[in-house]
Amino acid sequence: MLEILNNPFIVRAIIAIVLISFVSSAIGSLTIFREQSFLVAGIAHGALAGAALAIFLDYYRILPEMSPIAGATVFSVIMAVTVGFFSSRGSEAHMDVIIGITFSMAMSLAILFVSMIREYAVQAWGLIMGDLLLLTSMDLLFLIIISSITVFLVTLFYREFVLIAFDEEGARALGLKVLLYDYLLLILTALSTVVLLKGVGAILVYVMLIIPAAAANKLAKNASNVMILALLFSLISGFLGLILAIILDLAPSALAGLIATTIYVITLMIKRA
Amino acid sequence: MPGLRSETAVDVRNLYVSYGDYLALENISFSVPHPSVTAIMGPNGAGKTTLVRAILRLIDFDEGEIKVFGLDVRENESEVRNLIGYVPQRERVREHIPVRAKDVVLLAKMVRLGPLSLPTKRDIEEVKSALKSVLLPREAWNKKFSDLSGGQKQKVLIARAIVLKPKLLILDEPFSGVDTVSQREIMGFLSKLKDKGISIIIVTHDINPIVEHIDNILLLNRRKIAFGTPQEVLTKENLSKAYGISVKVIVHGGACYAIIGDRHA
Repeated sequence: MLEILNNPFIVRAIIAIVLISFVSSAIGSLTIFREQSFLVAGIAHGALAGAALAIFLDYYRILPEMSPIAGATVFSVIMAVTVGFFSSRGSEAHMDVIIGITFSMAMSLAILFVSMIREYAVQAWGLIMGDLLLLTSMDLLFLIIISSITVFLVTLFYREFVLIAFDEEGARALGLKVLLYDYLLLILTALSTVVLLKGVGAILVYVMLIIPAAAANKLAKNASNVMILALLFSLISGFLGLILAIILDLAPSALAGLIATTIYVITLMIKRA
Repeated sequence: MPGLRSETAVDVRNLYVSYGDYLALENISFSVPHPSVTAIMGPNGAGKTTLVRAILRLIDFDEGEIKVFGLDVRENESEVRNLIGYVPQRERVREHIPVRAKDVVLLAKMVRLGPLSLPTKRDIEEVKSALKSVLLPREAWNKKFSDLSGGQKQKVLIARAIVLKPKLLILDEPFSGVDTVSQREIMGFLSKLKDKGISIIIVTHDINPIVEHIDNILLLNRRKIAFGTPQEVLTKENLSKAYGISVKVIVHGGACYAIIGDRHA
């Protein structure tokens, strides 16, 4: 079993799972605290549209060598900032509508671009389903950089983010620049989405970013425990998914998603018992 | 110190606040002496919270001037914020986030100190003494905020404000959803705070439980109806003007009580 670690793709997958788990614990918890999980689903589809556009631009030699990940990053950040801009001018119910609209637009664009790249659509397919076992060294480097930035900034401003989520008005009265923190969190959420997009695919970004934190939030006694438990749940889902995928020859991200949702159902049962 | 020099905690002059076309506050002027306990009362939609938000600079105002301890709030935003402790309406707090009672207080303390600060022994001691001073039972300190009773939650939020050592404490509807015993306890230690030289402003729709502890009342309905001592303000004419209905006033033990029925008063 251990010689499997000689396979660089497996090693890269293992590192990616660790990175995804840290990002998912940091951003997932804050997203649950802010009750903005729908935003993650929206941004994930924005990222997919960006990736598909990049493949299209490369395919037609309009912007050769444009990497899908670069496209996904640009699109998801634009989408997050747009949602932030419009929702800062309205109520929270308003934000749901804005995310819904940008979500639909992003999804339509994604389908449009994928349909335009024809035989290269398989590349986009990888971003929809995730290609945990096909990561290159460059992909991994990108994931390491983005994950480190995200985890560093969330740790640095953790108290501010929690206070704003807990009591936005109180935070503003304390003199916190809430809007600035909101934009920072939106951009970090967008970047995290891209990290997960590469690892588990657009469809499962929501599952892996939100579900471990949602399960942790049900069990934890304080906010930092939510992050620790979410990290643990993500690692369990990721590694168990990977091991089962190798044994059963199935998609690791799908198995990880199923394990994460199972963990959530178990926490629900524990809470009810 | 109080007594040496007469100080004004809040001075509002000709204040106008609007939301788009809707004029929420019109030509409000009053001045809160320091230290004192002042209640802001009026019907729903009277602009009570709007007024508080303008003082805290959570919203901007169209015209007029607000000074807190002589400082113009527009020009000295951060200095003014350091002078004020704010206790928002409890419904505005998102309770699904698991935060322990003592952490709610510590969080505010640490956020004030900045991102890279670590809690010192002294910070922890200050948190403990704030929780003690609001009479929160010790067994509740480690409980999740969402597991506390209405009165306990309110006490935690007040402890969070006073741990920052404000000169002025502003509370928005601190007694809604709070049992009578806790109401009395809360009002009791708020009065003690005044004795220690902290001015208190309480926004409330129900003045009766606290009327004995109040120095001044601002009666509001988008305009100032009256400002003065409870005896001066709580008259049939003023209350009818504010609430638009006939109001019964009962005088008991030198204090006036307004009977405004089920309407938010």
